[in-house]
Amino acid sequence: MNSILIVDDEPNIVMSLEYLMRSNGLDVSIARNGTEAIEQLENKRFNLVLLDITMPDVDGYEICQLIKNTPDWAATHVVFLSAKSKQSDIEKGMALGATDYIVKPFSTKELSTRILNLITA
Amino acid sequence: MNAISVIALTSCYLGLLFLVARWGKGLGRLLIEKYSSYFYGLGLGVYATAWTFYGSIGRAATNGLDFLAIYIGPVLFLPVWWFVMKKVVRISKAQHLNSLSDFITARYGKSWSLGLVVTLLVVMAITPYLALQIKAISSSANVLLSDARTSYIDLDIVATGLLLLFTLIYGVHFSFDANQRNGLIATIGFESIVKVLAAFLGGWVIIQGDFEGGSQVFERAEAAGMSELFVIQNPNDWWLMMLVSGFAFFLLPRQFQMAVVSNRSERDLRKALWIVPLFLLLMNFWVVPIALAGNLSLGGDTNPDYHFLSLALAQGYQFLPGIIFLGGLAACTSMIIVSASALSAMVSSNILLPATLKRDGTPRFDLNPIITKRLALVLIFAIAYFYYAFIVQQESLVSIGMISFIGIAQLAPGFLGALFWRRGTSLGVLLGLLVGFGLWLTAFGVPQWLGERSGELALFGVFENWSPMANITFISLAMNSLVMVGVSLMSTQHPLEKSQAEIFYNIMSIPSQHYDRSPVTSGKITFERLEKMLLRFLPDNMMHETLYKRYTIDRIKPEPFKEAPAQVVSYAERLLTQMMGPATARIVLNREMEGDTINTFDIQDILEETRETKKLNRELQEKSDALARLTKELTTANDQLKTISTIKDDFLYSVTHELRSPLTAIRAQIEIIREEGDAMPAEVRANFLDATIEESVRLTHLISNVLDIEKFESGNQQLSLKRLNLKEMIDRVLETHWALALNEGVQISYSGPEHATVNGDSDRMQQVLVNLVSNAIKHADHQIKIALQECSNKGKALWCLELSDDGAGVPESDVPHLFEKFYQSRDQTVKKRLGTGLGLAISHNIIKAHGGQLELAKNPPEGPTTFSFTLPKINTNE
Repeated sequence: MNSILIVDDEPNIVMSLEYLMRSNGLDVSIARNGTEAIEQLENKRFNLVLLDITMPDVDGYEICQLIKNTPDWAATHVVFLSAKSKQSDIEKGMALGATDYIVKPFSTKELSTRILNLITA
Repeated sequence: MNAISVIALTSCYLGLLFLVARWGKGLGRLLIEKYSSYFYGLGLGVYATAWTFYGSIGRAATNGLDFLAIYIGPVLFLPVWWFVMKKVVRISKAQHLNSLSDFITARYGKSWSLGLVVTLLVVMAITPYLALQIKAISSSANVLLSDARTSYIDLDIVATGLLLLFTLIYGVHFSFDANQRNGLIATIGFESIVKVLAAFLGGWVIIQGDFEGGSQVFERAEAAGMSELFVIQNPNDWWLMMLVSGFAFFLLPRQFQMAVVSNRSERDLRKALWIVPLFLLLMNFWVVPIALAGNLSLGGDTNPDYHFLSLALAQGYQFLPGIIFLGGLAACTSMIIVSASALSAMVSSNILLPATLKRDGTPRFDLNPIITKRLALVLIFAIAYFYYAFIVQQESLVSIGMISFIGIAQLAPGFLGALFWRRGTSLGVLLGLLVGFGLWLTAFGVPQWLGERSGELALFGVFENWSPMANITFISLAMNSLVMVGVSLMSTQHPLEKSQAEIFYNIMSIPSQHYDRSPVTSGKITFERLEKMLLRFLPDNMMHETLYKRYTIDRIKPEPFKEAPAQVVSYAERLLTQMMGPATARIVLNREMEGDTINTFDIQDILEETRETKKLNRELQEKSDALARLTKELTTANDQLKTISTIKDDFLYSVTHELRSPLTAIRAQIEIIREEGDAMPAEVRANFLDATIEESVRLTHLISNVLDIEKFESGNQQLSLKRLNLKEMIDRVLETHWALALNEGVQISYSGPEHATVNGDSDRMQQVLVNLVSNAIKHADHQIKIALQECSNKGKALWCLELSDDGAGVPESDVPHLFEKFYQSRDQTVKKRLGTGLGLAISHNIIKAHGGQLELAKNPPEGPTTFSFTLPKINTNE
């Protein structure tokens, strides 16, 4: 089964994302901040990480950089899911090696499609 | 030292001068041009002669500090000097004037008789001074001789001969050949350095090395009863000496030569303002200590003028006496070289050249200006040597110098009048000069030639408490000025004089293209005659450098039998002036011209035109200044706006970012509910709907908080102030939070009075309390303590409320940002985060608006996390 890691510090957003991804038939793991995300990454290989940027401890950019710089994890797709909507924020995320950048709020349908496309491709 | 080595040393030094001049003319030229301002400053150091190098010490050893006037005068006059010289330099460049007599005659209608009188005066005043330098060379050489009692050398002949040779080579082409001029500038600069180094270092070695420093010398001198040498003995004389020395710094021919003729750029004048004082300070630094030390340790029969050399000899130094001798030699030779070449130019232009012409300007015999200059030089050296050999032996160095200064000062009224008084006439200046000159001659010259003491004539005893010298100075200068002004007012100026007066007076406001090109004559002359005339007086190569070049620049085709245009004639006159001075040049030119000779160009037109242009320029300048000011203001305002706008942008971005989170959750949840429909378990759907409501509430909070913050920051907040009991408000907030606290397992306690009256807006105060209490509940482990008590700050009575919890405290990295907008701690993961990041910022603003202060009073490990705020206390007993 394809696995996905959701990293976000907003409980209500996590709740919806978890439900959405499960109903898409994915194996879902949750991290509520950067530290937890790193722990999860160390324990398990994921096909995709859905990553918030603004988080209290380690921010999403740093995590993305870590993933792309760790040979074992580098194959993992990183999709940013963030309320940061400036062009410069998006460019920065893509430059760090992310596969996609989706701005909050998002359409659940579109999000599902994009993620499934990436995972099954 | 024996006689041969002294002669060898002198000859070597003079030989070295030839090399330096050669260098300045050739290789050193670029260096001199690049550092022209420094060379200019050093050139002015020609002021320091043997009189300074040896004479000051002699004077200080006998008369105390009065010698200082001769150096303080010029230094005090320097700002004036700068102002005056700028004008003089500009005029002299514009009209190709090359000496003091040129300058004065040019202004007063190019009058030949005035030039003659000026020249005679200068020669009489300066030749004794030249003789004095020769004497100083010879006397110092004889001091240097170890077996002075048995041998005596005539170094004077050797030195005078070599100097004559040097001046014949480098002092003749000075006025028109830039290369020769550079040679002379290099030499004088070099000599200035030699003399200042010798004076300063020599003095230093002797005083520091042999007398344990200046203060030691002063103490010993005082003990030996020489304290009258520490003061200025005759203050009245002193002031006059300063004045006369100040004038001398402008008017001595050698100063004019270095300050005006060898000036390359008006800018160079500025640097002289510090080089000259520094130079004079270093030259005079050890004068008094050396004088005193000489008095203390040398016998009474030594000539105090040569204390410096005698001390160096007495202390048994091997090289020092030679070095000091060279310093003195440099002082003498630089003076002789520059003065002699300046005098020769005057004698040639005003005496010898006119003597070769008949009254109508036809040549009596053919002598070109270079030959007459050389003749003049030989003549001057001959007179100086004669004077030295037969007259000068008796006087001390300083007194002859001073007499010469007073003579030169007689030129001051005419010279300053030339620059600053339009009404002065040549007759006025001539008569004034003759009176001043006559008085000076009667007082000094005649008695000196008769071998009597100078200035003892009863005629000059006007001011009883002044010395004879001061009396003569004052009376001669005063009479000179009075006659000049009086006669000028009674006589009229002829057109050329009037025109020149306007040019001299207004030179700073005449644009250079006018004084450089305007015709000063309307007579007729063909190109052929003009060129023939010039060729008679100018060196061949100079024609190419000047006239022919000018043809090209002005696009003039010189057809031999056509009439030369006025600007060419005017230029030719200036070229002649450069060679033979303005008066003789005019005589020569007049002879060649046909028809009306002199017609002056109308300076008034030019001035009028210039004035208008200037006025226009000024108006433009003012407008442009105003525009510049406005632009600057606009830029500042724009920058401020940009900053404000950036702050606003950042704020808006933060707000939208914060709004996006609840919106994201709401949208996602609703979309899922709709999509799933009945497929969704009922309890999950209920969870989703609850979350939606929760996020909506959060949105509402956020929006009202943002509005609050905006109000406070823009100053639009309105507080409806009432008397409030703070205790009651606390109770109310605790009531509403009781359930939440219980849920979190937190206990809240209160200590403090039952009544605490403040002036406040009840809703806003409640907002603050709610914020603090709910924050505390969020972070506390078990307990929250609220304490209310009285306190004071700077004598003001306050209520102070403290709210502490037993939680982990605020992370250190968060402390500085605690009250910033949208700042949320990085460590909020333990409890559910639904804050807006604005609560503390708003509370801070509210308390501030109430005249109090909200702060983090304590933070672990200092104690439990404690927020506190103060509010002004209202006295309820009133």
